[in-house]
Amino acid sequence: MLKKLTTVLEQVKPAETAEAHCDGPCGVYDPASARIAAEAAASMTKKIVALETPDAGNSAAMAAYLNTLSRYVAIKEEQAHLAKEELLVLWTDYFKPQHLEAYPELHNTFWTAAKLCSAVKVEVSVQHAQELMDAIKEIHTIFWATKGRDVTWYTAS
Amino acid sequence: MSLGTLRVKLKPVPGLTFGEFFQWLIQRRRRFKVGGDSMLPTLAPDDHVLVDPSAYGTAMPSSGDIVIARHPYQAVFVIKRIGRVEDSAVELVGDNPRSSTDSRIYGLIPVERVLGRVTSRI
Repeated sequence: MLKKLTTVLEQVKPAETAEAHCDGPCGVYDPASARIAAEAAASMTKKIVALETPDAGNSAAMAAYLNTLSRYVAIKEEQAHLAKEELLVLWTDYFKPQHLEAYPELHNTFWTAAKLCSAVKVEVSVQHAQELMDAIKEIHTIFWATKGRDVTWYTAS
Repeated sequence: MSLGTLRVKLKPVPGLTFGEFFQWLIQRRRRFKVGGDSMLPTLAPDDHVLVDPSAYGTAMPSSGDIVIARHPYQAVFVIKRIGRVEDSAVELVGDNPRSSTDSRIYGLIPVERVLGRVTSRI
């Protein structure tokens, strides 16, 4: 009888919904977000290394140089940190104990990758930027293997 | 400060009475549908409840009350049980903590965000 009442009411005027669940777990994960951030940080690292220093006497050129350099550094800092955040989300939210059983190197791979994010952020190291990309490629391979899918690794640049 | 351990008895929600139905007819109750299982076993998904929006006009919520509140960060309503009550903030906890996002995640919420008390289940 009461069920009937709610059914009828729902047709006439649907009730507002009061949420009673867990936020978030949309289940949408993809190492691509970490890869894009790491790639941006790697790109900035290369640009910083390639930047030519102007004559000390040319103040306009020096101002432009410092401006460009600061922007590259700021973006590198930001993107390296973002890459780390994206990796930590994958590591702590997506991966489960059963994945660790199948891939015992998982923790070490993530730890190494997270450390490399810090290195890329702090240093201007093309080598570490490349090592970070390699580590994320490894994570990409494990991630898609756990989903039973064969997703080709690619980069934007 | 420890959040999330509900130290109150999980009182059930009373069924619909004629009085409650009347209150609803004269628009003193709002009807909500439960979305999700964080209030199990007390309330199941798709249960309908009536809410008294004037319950906390002067009184503060009490520990153990089931309430509708505005989510602190999202434009949605949540249904939870009141855990602790502080000066002007309350702790919201799901009866089914394993499947609940509540004050353990977002902390205490200001009492103004509490819309009303759940008075009955239809």
